[in-house]
Amino acid sequence: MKYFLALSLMVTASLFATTASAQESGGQWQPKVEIPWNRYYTYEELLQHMQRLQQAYPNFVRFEDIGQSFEGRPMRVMILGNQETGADNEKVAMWVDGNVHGNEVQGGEAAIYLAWWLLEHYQSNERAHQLLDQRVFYILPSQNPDGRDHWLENANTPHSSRTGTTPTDNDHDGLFDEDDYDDLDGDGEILLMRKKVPLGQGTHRLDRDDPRIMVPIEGDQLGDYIILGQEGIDNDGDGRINEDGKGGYDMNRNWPSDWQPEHIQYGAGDYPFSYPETAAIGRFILAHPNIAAVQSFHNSGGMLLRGPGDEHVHYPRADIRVYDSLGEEGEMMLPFYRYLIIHKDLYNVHGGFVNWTYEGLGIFSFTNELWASEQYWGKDREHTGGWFSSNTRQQLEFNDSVTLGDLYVDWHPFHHPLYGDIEIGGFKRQHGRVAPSFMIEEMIHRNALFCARHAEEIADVHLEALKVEELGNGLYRVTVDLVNSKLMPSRSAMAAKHKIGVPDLVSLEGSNLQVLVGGTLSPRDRFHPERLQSVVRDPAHIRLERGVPGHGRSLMSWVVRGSGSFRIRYQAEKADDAELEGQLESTVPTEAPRTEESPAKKQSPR
Amino acid sequence: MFAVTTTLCCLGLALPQDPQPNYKLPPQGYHAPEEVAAALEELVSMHLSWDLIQIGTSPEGRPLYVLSIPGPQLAGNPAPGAPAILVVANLEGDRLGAGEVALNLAQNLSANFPLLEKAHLFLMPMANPDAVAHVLHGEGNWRGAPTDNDRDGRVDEDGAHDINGDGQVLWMRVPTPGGQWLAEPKDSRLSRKAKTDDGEAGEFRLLREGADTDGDRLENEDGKGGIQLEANFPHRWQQYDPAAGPYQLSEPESRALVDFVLLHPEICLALVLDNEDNLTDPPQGEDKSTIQSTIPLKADATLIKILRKGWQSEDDQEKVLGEEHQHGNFADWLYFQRGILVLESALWSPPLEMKEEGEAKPKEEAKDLSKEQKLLAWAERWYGDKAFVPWQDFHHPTLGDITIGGWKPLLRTNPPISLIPQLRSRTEAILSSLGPQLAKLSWEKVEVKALDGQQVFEARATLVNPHTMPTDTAMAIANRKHLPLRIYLELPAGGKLLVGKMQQNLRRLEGLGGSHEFHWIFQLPPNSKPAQVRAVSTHSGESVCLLEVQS
Repeated sequence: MKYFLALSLMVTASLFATTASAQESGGQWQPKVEIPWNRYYTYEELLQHMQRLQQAYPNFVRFEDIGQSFEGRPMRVMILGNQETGADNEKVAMWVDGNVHGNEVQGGEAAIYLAWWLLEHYQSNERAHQLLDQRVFYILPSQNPDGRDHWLENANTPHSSRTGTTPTDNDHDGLFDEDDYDDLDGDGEILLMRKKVPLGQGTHRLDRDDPRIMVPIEGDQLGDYIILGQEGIDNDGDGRINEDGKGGYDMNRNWPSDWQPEHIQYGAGDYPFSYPETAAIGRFILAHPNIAAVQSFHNSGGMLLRGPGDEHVHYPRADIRVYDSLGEEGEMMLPFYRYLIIHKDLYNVHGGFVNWTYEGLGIFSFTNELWASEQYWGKDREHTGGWFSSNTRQQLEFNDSVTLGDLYVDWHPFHHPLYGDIEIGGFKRQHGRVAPSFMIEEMIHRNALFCARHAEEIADVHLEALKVEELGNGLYRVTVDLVNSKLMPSRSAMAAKHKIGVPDLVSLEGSNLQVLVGGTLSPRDRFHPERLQSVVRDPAHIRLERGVPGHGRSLMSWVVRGSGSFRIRYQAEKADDAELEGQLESTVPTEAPRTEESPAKKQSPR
Repeated sequence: MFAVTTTLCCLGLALPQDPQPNYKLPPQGYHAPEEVAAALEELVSMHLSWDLIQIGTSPEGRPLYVLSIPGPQLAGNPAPGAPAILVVANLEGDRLGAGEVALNLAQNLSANFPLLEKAHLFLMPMANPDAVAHVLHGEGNWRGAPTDNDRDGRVDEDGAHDINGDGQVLWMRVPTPGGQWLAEPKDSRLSRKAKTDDGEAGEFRLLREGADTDGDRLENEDGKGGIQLEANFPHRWQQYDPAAGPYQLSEPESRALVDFVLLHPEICLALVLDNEDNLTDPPQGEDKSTIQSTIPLKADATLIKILRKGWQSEDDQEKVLGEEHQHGNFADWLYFQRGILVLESALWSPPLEMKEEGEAKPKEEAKDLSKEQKLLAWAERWYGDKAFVPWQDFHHPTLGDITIGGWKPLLRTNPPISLIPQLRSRTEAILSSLGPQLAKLSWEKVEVKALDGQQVFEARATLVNPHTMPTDTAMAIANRKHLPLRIYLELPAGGKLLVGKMQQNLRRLEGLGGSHEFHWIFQLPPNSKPAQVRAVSTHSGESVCLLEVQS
């Protein structure tokens, strides 16, 4: 990345002297752009919020339309970062998206919240300032705008409209999307259907205390109710209900790494990038090797997920340490969330998005599953019944008391064309997977700021301890340390192992010198730290396949003949470039300790 | 029909064995991509009902053409449910013979070609025209944007090339103690690996002609071009293999081909003419397929064994040898991910049996010869001294004193151009033999009884597939890519169904008499037309049957 850190640090420091704490002190915080974070927005509304941020912060926000969804909505990436400190593709970047599953809407708000919070704190918060100056965020609030709007605007269940809307023949009858749910009673919700049957013929009975609750019968109990699934009729006359609805696939199984066809992985699509949305995102990400961190927001369950998605994929130990460190911090930041491994703790995923960005592209990637049911009562799962709120009684209590019944439709009679007299009722789609309105802001703040922490830990490499040592006869030894002050290495072990992307490059150049030997030293070699791993060809250019380790340093050494000035440059895909100039004149006595700062060190202008 | 097939077959098998001094060394006489495109364009101007579909464009701007030759017609329109057969050649640029055969097939296809009574034909003679163009220019089998194979920041900077200025890229013997190769003692022109187990030590490295152009102590490690088309398809795609591409179907040629197949669910069978072969030694089949499978399911392997009879008979003299199964190839995608049956033929390989014409057994002296020796003997009989360049001393700029020479490219995998018509008629034979073996729907054992003597009828009818091919392969069922086979009961106005279903889906009908019985009871108004039953399938057409009381 062709962005030089030190310069902007100086600018940053001077700004803070005058503007710090102007905005957020004593409860007097006045954001420039007011966005009510207590509701979920349609895609068009999300775009309007992005537009408002752009108008308020024109030097920090620009947009790139990377394609169109199946229904023609623009796939709009917000490019967030101070444009005056460098072009976006010259800085290291984090990709943040949400809502690949249409019903998992809150990722969209969380993604935009991240931009909003950083922008509104640019002047008052030193670290927000640094992030916007030194990093870039590529923010796509919804990977699946068609599915999002369909879920928000039309009758659905909490779980439906996960798919995009490209017509798909799910039941192999040659017809597309011909048997979807039907909002039979026209109340704008897809609820459950149940039917009272003669005692003994049912699979359920009604709870004695709360007849809204269906209790499965056990042992020799007799049931008098059956559950008929979600609202719908047999639209295509094939004897089945709701078996070929709108879309009918999973775009988070449509990415190249470990992609498997439909019979192995439901929803995979015909081949990776077969949908207009995934193709557009794939093109953009492949064209931006500066992306060093990824977050893809989903719901729900309260999880910070990383791959692998299948047990046959192995992650290198060094990278797992990075993941663990971020994951543990995330667990602290996000009460009730757990840091988990997809295939081990959840289920197998072939062709998942974060699997591709890490396994295929070597980028540290998380999927946060927003909203944990424990949060309804602020108590751990022993009290709340765990995932997707399996304790119906407690959910109903929440509905009845905390929302005055807003989240539930009471059972009411309906005459079904196939099943006769039935009842329709149950939880609305706003319950279970998304936070209730009054809890949205906390949910998205904690998740957005986890992204900020992730981005802060992207490798940050400096050249330090430049040393020039005269060897006699016009020969000099030049050594320099590459120091990475952050958690993440400049190249993940995954990238190094599979030769993904371009290795980091350290070069020594001067107009009046010849580089005879070049290579890396191993500071960890306790017996022969002077041993050089030399470059076979072209010793002026040292390639670091493993990059610079997180919180670590790599030592470069050259033997050169010549005189005058030289320049050492560090270039990396996923770390900012760095540069240092020096003179070929001895700067240290032969026995001097290596830690001494070189007087020749000079930061070059950008 | 069977007789015709057999005759064509025999004609196709008479490949000459005796010396043919007039053989031209491949690629002499082969068509350039531009000539193939022009020939296809000319064909559609001659045949009004044919269509030339450009499914895409190669990275170097060449059209990707599929010739569309209409099958059975009803009143000028494609017959409903008529299946299609896809023929694809030249996925690998150095398999020039395949493309020539496919083009020759199109040029000689008569309007009454028997297959066309049963099926539509899609013919793609050149799936990888850029690579073909480079092969014909003597540049090797490459395509795609330049890539940095050795990850040194430079692209395509160190590939094989002509270093002694003789206008061709051959082989270098680089004397190296401990090199893996030595000269074949019985014929020093040939090279073979040293048998270290027998105490032999190697004498030289055998490299493609070239040099360490970029000074990294490696020869020819970053040659021209990039991604290999036949490694870019989704089945068993190799994520970290640079030749496989950044993702599945990243290349315009592979993507276009896949999209074409997806657009045409009526394709029930494909013939892929390339470097792999499942006709000479058909696979035995496996009980179960996995994501790594390269062997078809047993039931489908059996189909291949039956269908290949149209290709090779018992007295066939030469075995065509295919190459090893490659990761991410087109044929595997067709079968393992879409369930489309694929016949693969390498079409031709050098005849190594060293038989004189009319003799049943190979010559006595051939027994002890290695494969390389047999190849050289064959090449000299066919091409004289044109096939193999004697080793010549050369002072190499970085490798010192070496020798350059060896096999000319292409001749071991491509026949001389004059054999193309014979190979074509063989390919024609198998295509002809396929027509009557495609799945067919037929209503049999139709019984209709009037239960009350006038208005309430009970009907039974059995849907039968008398032909070899099932309506869908076993693999299509296993990977859920089978296409709807729907059965509709059609009652006249006022009719009422009492028992059974108005419409139902059948997963598939097996071949060779696979059947399924249906049963209905319905009521018809007085003096109405009889009911009828209609079966419709994407791969096997339509069949309608009246449900009338037999008198």
